[in-house]
Amino acid sequence: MLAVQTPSEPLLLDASATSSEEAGLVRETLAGDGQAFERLVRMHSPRLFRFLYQLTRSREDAEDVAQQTFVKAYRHLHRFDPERPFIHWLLTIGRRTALNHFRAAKKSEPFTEEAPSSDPTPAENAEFRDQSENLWRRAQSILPRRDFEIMWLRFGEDLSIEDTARVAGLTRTYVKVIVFRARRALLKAIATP
Amino acid sequence: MKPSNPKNDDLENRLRFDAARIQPLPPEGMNERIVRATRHAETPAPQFRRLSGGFLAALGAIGAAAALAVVFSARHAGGPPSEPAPDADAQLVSVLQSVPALVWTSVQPKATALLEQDPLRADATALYSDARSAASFLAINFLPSSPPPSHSAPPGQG
Repeated sequence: MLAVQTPSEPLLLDASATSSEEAGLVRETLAGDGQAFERLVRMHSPRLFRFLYQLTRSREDAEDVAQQTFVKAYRHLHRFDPERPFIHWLLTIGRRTALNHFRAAKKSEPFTEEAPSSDPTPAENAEFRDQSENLWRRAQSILPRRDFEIMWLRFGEDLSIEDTARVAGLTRTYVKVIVFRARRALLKAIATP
Repeated sequence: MKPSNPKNDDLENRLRFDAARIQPLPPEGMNERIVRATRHAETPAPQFRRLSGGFLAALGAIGAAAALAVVFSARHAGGPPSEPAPDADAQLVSVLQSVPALVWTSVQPKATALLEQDPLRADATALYSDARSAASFLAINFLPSSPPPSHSAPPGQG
């Protein structure tokens, strides 16, 4: 049996932003208010960065891709559907940008750990230690890249099956199949010492 | 309703819990760098709308020309040959012959404005070229080669 704890705080980092507020900020940005987009950046950059960090395993790459993602979002802001949460749109753009980033950089394996360039700080040490005990670390080592992405969107970002499918550009049935397969693989890996 | 598997529920809860523990701190100054980068980026929406307007104007002009050509050819095909209507035909001829000029005058101001912006230069050139080709095609295929002698100099040409 797995040791299960309940998360002490809600996962959604941007829970304070409602869709109507976001839509208002988007409208103001399109009307030429630069401050409005700055608010959107501050609101969503931590969560986007966390997602991209999971994909890239590199702070520099994650920041680079996050910047490209926001620039693309800004340029195509008129295409944003105000019925959807802004973060879902950002995750969709970010995921595609990350894939292109790796294609351009000709990195065949995006999950390779970056070599530490200098001695890690105590904060980084704590983060690495924490991550080594994390189930996601295990998931990364056993799941194919796309299955990991889907699992992260579904449980790490806590998206619904439908939203996961939309962000990943897959059908809902396919997402369900991937989740089922990945869950089985993870359970098997946990059961094996 | 399908019964949930306790093992799956446990796994999902643990995945959610562990994900909440992963909070990599964004690099210092990242938001400022992003904001700076977006300030240098152009929003293409207004340009896109201008291009759409020009495109729609050209389409409208071509559509009008096509409609006139269809009416003109239907009149010639359906009406008895011994019953000419020289005045009406002459008017149609003059309107149709002025279509390339109409297309040009409707597209030119927008196209000129668009040409000043480099990224749209190719689009505007292609648009104008397409409009001219379409108008010429219609004129060649649907206009009579020699209008009635009494109306040989239509006012649109003068």
